[in-house]
Amino acid sequence: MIAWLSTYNAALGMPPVSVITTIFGAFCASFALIVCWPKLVQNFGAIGGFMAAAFLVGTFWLLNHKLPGFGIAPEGIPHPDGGSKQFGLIYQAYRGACPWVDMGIAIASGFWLDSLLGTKKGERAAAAKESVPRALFALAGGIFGGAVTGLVGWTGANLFGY
Amino acid sequence: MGKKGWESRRSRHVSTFIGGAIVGSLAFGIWPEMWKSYGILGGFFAAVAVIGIMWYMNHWLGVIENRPGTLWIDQGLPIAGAGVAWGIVRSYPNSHWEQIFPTLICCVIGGLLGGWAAHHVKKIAPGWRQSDQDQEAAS
Repeated sequence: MIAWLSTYNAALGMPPVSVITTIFGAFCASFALIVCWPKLVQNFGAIGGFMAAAFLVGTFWLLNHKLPGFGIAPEGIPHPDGGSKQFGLIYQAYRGACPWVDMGIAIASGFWLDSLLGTKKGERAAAAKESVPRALFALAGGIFGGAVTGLVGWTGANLFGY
Repeated sequence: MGKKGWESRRSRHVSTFIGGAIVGSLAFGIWPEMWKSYGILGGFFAAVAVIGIMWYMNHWLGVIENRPGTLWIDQGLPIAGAGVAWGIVRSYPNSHWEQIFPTLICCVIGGLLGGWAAHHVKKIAPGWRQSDQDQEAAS
């Protein structure tokens, strides 16, 4: 089983077992948020949104994204047979040293598809077309914000030895 | 089209851009530091602080444009974009950005499956059915 689960590493670019865990983790986060978040907001108003942020995002962050890379053991915890151990369900390639893949993309695509399926059949293409520029501007904003945040390591400041 | 000021399409796009930029910056400026400093509870606190207040701004107050009847653009999208951009810029030129695609594709597949399943489950789940009947009774 273990041998089979790591047979196609090179072809897939990731261990097959990580394909399973990543898809399942993304499915869980997306499903639970879509079903629960609007209902919590409907029942509790804005407070429900904060509850959802704490309970849903906090919990699914723990399920999907806890990682030995940040603070615990920056080099990762090595497997006896090479590679490093993953703790979160969503696989971070290159031992977590490549750019971060966030479960946000799963949640956003799930919300998008859910609202697309909730649209009447004849209006779906127009609705999808209408959403493209909004999605692109939101994505461009995220890329801009993330890139600027990434720049802080390039200031050359030497604060407290870090 | 034709409307001026903050009602215009362009202004709404600027608003969406700003909301995405702030949520992306906050998520990756704060979350890793909280995780490093306080571990799992730090991550929970970051979820409340970042996602809670940014949800309030982007989706409750509507900084990211989502008018009724249109498809939902979630703030997860800018957060995901920010995660990749943050990683690329932070460890440039050794970011190994081409390694992310298998995970990214699996994430999108899982997310779409979740959205599809949620759409169908909401049709039969009693809590969602009840609210639909209430709305029909009210209208």
